Amino acid sequence: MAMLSGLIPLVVGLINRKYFTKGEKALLYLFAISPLFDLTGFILKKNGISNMLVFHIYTIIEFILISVFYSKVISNPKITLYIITIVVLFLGVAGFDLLNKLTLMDDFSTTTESIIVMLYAIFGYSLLLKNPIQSKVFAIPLFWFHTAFLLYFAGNLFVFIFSSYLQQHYKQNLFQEIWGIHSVMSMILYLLIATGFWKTKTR
Amino acid sequence: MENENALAIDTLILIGSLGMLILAFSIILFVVLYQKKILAQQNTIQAAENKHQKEMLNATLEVAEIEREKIAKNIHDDIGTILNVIKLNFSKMSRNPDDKMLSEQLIKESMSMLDDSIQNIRGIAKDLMPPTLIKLGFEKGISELFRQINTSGAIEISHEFNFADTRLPAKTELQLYRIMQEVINNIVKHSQAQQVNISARSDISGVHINISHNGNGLSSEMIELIPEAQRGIGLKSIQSRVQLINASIQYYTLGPGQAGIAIEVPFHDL
Repeated sequence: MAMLSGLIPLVVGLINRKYFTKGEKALLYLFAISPLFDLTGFILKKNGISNMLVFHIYTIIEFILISVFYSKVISNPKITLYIITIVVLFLGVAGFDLLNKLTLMDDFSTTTESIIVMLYAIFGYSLLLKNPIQSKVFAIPLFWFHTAFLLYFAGNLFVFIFSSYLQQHYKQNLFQEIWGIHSVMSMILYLLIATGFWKTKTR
Repeated sequence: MENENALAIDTLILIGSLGMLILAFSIILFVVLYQKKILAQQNTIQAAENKHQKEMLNATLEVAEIEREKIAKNIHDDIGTILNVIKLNFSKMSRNPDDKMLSEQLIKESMSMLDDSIQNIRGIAKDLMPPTLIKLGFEKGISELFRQINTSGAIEISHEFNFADTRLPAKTELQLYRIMQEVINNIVKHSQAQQVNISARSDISGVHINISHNGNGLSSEMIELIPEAQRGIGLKSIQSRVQLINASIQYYTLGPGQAGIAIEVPFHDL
């Protein structure tokens, strides 16, 4: 179900792509490759092969494309420089995770990514509040993108932090529960991003 | 042990849900703050617009007052004085009914003064409502005005018109005429120009007028920097008339001795 809902932003994005800014195009690329990674992960899992490598690679690509999106949205050379620095540092962290914890999920890069993207979204909100661009906030695509990222990555952060806590303290494997919550968060993300893509037409 | 685990999971889910709830409330708070800011912004724009409208209205009323004052002065100084002299002439004649020579002289003098008064009244009427403009339209009316200005020698105006046959609405013609009058008046008064070139044409989109001169001018950006209260009555009057016919006006400077004004009157708003 979550996998299928991943197609919604892609379809809406492709329909409205002529109205997209450069940043929104980066998001469209992200949601174009996202179903491919989901499918690969699903096939690997079905065949009893660990899909953690796919998960790690996707996290890196996801973070880079979201960073590109925010650097275009903020459109300030100084902030772009900060974002590039953050991406480089993140690549270091993600590279370390990729080499050392290939089969584990409680990696540092997912947590780092979630915190940074949440900060991006909060900064995005503050920019919207500083320079209101439209009288109706729900008509602004950026509002939907910030909301999508804030909710999704906050949910992710909670899921990953506490699942690793439970695993450490109670040695309990909660993969099923985690993926259940993660799927719900993903569906919310896809729907909110699709709404943002839809709103680009009437902005 | 299992019970403890279940309790821990429940607590964690509770904490997570609470966190998400706080997040949801933060988003709602953002929406409320955003709408408040938009409302405040709209109120500020509305207040500025109201202030501008009020200033424009004041300028219009001030211009009307100045016009009335001018007419009253003309009537009082020229016509009133002449009629008083004619009245005196008549009373002089009535006191000396037998002095034919004096009567003839006084009648001749009075006739000449009456001719002057008629000329003066015509002038005032022309000022109030130019007959050429009313009868023959903007092109002829404004050409007549330029001819008069050229005759006065205050400045040299050359013009090139390319208008379609259809006439503009009477209100637009009159306002456009007044705008041109005020613009020329400002050029004569402030720019130290000797030569003014005017080109005007109309097409399907509207009327396009360009007035260039070899004097000192201001650009629209420079005018924007002048506080509204410090702008001259002429400038305000032009602005209010421009708004009245939904036209736009652009002041520009191209260098020393090269300045001008471009006026656009769109047809769809007429």
